[in-house]
Amino acid sequence: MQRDLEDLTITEKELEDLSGIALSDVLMLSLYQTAVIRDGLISKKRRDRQKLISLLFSETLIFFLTLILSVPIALSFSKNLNYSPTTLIFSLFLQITFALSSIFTLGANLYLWLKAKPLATLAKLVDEVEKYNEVIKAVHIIDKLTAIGNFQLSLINREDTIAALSVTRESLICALRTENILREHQEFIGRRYELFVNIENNLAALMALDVSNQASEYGRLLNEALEIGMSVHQEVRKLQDRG
Amino acid sequence: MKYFSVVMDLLRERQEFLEELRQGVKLKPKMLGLLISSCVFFAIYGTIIGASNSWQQAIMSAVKLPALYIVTVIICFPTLYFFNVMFGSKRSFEQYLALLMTAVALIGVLLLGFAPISLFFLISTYDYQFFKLLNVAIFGLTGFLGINFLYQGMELLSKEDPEGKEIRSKILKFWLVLYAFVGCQLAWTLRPFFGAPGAPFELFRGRDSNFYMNIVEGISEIFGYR
Repeated sequence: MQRDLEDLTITEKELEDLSGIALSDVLMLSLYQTAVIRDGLISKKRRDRQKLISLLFSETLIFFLTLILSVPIALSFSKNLNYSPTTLIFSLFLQITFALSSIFTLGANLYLWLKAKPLATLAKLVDEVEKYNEVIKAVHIIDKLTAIGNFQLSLINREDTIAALSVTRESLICALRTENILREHQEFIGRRYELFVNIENNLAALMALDVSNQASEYGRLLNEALEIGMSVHQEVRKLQDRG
Repeated sequence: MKYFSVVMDLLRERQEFLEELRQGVKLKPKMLGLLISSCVFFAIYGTIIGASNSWQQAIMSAVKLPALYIVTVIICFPTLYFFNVMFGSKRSFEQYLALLMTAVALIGVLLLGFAPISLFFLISTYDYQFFKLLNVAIFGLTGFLGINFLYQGMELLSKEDPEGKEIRSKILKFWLVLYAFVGCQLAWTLRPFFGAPGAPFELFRGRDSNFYMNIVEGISEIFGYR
């Protein structure tokens, strides 16, 4: 791959550094959104179908793991029973196992869904980064074809493409950083209305202070004015008495 | 598929893996990967040993064998952690759990390595006793190697906490005996794993006291005291 294309790619490590979360976590949690099921069933894009398959795979895995916990519990429970037809015990055992497993699986799904909610924007950004990397790969393939001698396929405006890609890279990186900062301070930003109310209250208190301050200032000025007026009046009286 | 890459890293570079554990690098994804891959490996081996009886036994053993190892870890882990913390270790909860999961995953991988051999003997010989003995040997060997690794891992983890190191060594040995004790009893409760060939499929055998009383009875029967 040519040097400028290599520099343009956003690697996995860079992505992890910018977003602050391991990439595999994001990818796994991004499956746990209702949009995935809807897109996977309706759309014809390979990427959406792959996501649906991954989701099914991880659901099966979770169910199997919960089986491991529920079989010993169900076994120890059904050992205490004394029904004579053993098939009844067996079917009861199966029912208990499946019930316990379903409860655990539902619990696990709920937990993962709750964890995935704040990461929705990040998941979309990671998707965009993937598409961006694929575009770079396409340019690389065209480069290789051109190098062989297939001039009909040459990219006419390679410099323009590279320029556009670097602009896209800057904006993607900026978006990732912004998302990281906003996510870190999500709670604080959520309380911004509280903050405004606090500022309003503080401002009103300040203004009240100012008013009383102004009032006392006014009073002092009035006092001084009165004194000046009085002394002027006395001087005028003195002058009148003399003259 | 990325879950299995954790185990591959463990196998290729054990020292580096232990070093990463000591530094606490990315513990949660490691634990999840180790848990999933060890369960899958145990399930595969369980299918093979259960297949000596019937397909129902194969399915049941596929679930029982991972359950045996994982539930024993869950039962014995708090003892290990709290005793170690009490005697001077400053490692975190996750580091200890990750080390235990690593040892269990190593046992799982070794069992997976022995699975084709076990399958071969299952198909080629019809001697149930020989098959049972072979599996006891395999479980013993893999258990020993896993415990060896756990010991090494503990030594590495407690390199930075020199105070109380001898006591913690003794605690580890005591804990290993406890683990074997709990493991055998749980295996006895969850039996049958193998299932005698030709016998009907049994979900569980009747409750004859416990493993150790059974062994004592067996030994006394051998010596003629009945």
